[in-house]
Amino acid sequence: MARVAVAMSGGVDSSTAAALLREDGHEVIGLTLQLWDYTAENLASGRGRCCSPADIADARIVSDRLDMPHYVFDHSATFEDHIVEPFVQGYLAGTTPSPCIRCNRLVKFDMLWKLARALDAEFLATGHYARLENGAARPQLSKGHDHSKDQSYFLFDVPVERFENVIFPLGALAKDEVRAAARRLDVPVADKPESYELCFIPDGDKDGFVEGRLPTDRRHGGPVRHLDGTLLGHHGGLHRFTVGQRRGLGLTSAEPLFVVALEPETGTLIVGPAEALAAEMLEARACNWVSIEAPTAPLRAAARIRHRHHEVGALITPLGDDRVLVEFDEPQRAVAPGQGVAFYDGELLLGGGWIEGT
Amino acid sequence: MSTAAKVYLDYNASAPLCAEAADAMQPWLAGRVCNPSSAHRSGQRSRAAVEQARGQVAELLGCPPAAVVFTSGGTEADNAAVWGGLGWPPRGHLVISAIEHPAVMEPAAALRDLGVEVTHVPVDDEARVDPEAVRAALRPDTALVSIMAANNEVGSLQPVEKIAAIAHDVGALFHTDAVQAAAWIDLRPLVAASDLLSISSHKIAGPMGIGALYVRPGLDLAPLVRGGGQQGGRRGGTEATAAMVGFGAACARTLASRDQAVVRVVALRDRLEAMLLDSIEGMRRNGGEPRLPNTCHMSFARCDGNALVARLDLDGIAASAGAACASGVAHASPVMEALGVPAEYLAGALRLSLGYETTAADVDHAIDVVPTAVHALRAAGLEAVR
Repeated sequence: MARVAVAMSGGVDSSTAAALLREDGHEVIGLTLQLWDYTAENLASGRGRCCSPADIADARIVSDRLDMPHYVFDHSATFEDHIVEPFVQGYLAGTTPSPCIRCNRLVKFDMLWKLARALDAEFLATGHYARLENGAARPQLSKGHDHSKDQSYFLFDVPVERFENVIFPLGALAKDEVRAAARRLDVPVADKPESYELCFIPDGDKDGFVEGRLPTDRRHGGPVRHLDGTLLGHHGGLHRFTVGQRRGLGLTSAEPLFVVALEPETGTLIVGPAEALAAEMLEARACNWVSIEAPTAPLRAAARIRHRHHEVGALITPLGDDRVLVEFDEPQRAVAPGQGVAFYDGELLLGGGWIEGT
Repeated sequence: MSTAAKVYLDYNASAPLCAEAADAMQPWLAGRVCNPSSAHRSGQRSRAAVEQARGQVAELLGCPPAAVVFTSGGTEADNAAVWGGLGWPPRGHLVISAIEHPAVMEPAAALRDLGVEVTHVPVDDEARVDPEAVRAALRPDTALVSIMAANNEVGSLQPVEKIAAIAHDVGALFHTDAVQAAAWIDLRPLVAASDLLSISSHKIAGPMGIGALYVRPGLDLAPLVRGGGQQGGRRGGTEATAAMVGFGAACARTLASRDQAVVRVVALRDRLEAMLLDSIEGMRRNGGEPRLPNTCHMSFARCDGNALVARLDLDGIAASAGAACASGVAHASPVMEALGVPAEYLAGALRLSLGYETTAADVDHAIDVVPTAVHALRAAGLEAVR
């Protein structure tokens, strides 16, 4: 049996992951990263998520119930520099940032692993819904068995060697099985509700969050133009929009209009009809390959262009310099620069990259 | 694996409840324990127990029992002294040191928001306040000078008697936070020199949630907690009989054991410190002599103190990275910054604090384990991230 460090958020998934490892007889150590300073804000709203005081208290209670040591580390400065500030800057640049993917690469699977090593742990475990097989020449990472909870997409950017020492105890389980295991193992948070918002914006008001951090001269909006150049109106700030969005445009027109592009240089929001959203290809940069070596020749794969997107067949052509061209079998709607694109072969996560343009 | 660490070296955070206090409290934890202010026979029994405990605290302090005001702990005692020392409504000038406990720092900050001027006297690189610097800070309207007797992080002892005399020269009141000193230092000379002095029960192996403020007889201090007129109107609230009785027993035990413990513990601490300095490169000891005999505070270059504490816990040693704080998440200590500790050492603080029960074997275990842990932490590459 091994010494395993478990990332504990105070939620049911990571708590149950810890309980299952304990049941298997491992020596389990709980680690919690405090990534966001909740002292000023969000206390009134009660529970935030992931690392609010209430959630850290839950992680402590669970760890005590499971009779395992548990340590909390404040890495809010790292999180601010590497995740939150780039998130805001990404919106300012007219993209749709994907902070959870970055956080997995730069914070969770980096800092937590270093802490685990510092504590002589052989493995790091998390409550992610993804399946991992080690033993072959290269770790093989697959979708979580419960496709409705699958989180493999968020893991495409983690350096593959890190997975050699990672365990995902929930990978083969469905959410209701996880709750059942939590009850069976007397985990106190078995019935705690899930949260879906970004951990640092627990009230879900992304626009308000970004606006609170903008210099005043960046808070004003800009023109809304049709693809054909017609000026249609005024918007309240590019950060409020993402490619494919229809709501919040405040336009009256005969045909339904969608955000087609964002132009940060001029502050212009470009809208157009649904068919203008269809992209036949995209380019991705900074690709990371997980279950396979970086391809040197064109490769058939299924591409997922956002969380919960239904993958589409595509030809992936390496362009050098960790860039790829992704040509879809069928045009895809709303390909948003700044989001990640992940490549699959059936269940297997091959790798992914960052969408740059269409 | 998950049992508590075998070796406890965190007495400055809390000294585990001693048998004397536990035994003394036992009769007051069950059965008919009544309000000490009640006139009936059961109330009378509680009253007698509370007043006997007050006498035991007074004996540790070397003052009349009537000068002892029970509080909910050291923090409340400090708050009562600082708020009370500025009068109600608060006015005048307040002088504190740069390394006071937050129980003094925070009320001082709140008073500043109310218009009270606050001067923070700096410390030297050994964490000591220069009495002449206090003299220079004084003004005709200085109402209170509050300087701790012993720093809770590095253990440095302050020249309290000299500073008290200097404060009195301009007619200011003098308060000292003696919470950390009580287990190790004879408080009687400090009490004799001061107007106000704070102590806490759980730092001397009494129960948590109880402490006391010495108030010089004749001093009319505005109360912080107003209520039913208990303790002569100086602190409202029903007296906590069991906690006070335990505190009293801990005071008696401290008085009986302290002198011997000091001699024994200082030798253990010095050996621990010398051995660690010998075996770890890039280590500095923080705080100079004179200091508490039990406190060993050090910093390691390129090492994360919080992760070090976690690793030591797994290795069977309970310690702190600086001070234990409410959230359990330590930050770079203002005390370390006030001392001018070099940047590469700031993140790597470790406090090992010994107690009356610490054995040579405990210290040997720390000498064995700490160097390996520091090296492992440095190898883990955590130091760059704060």
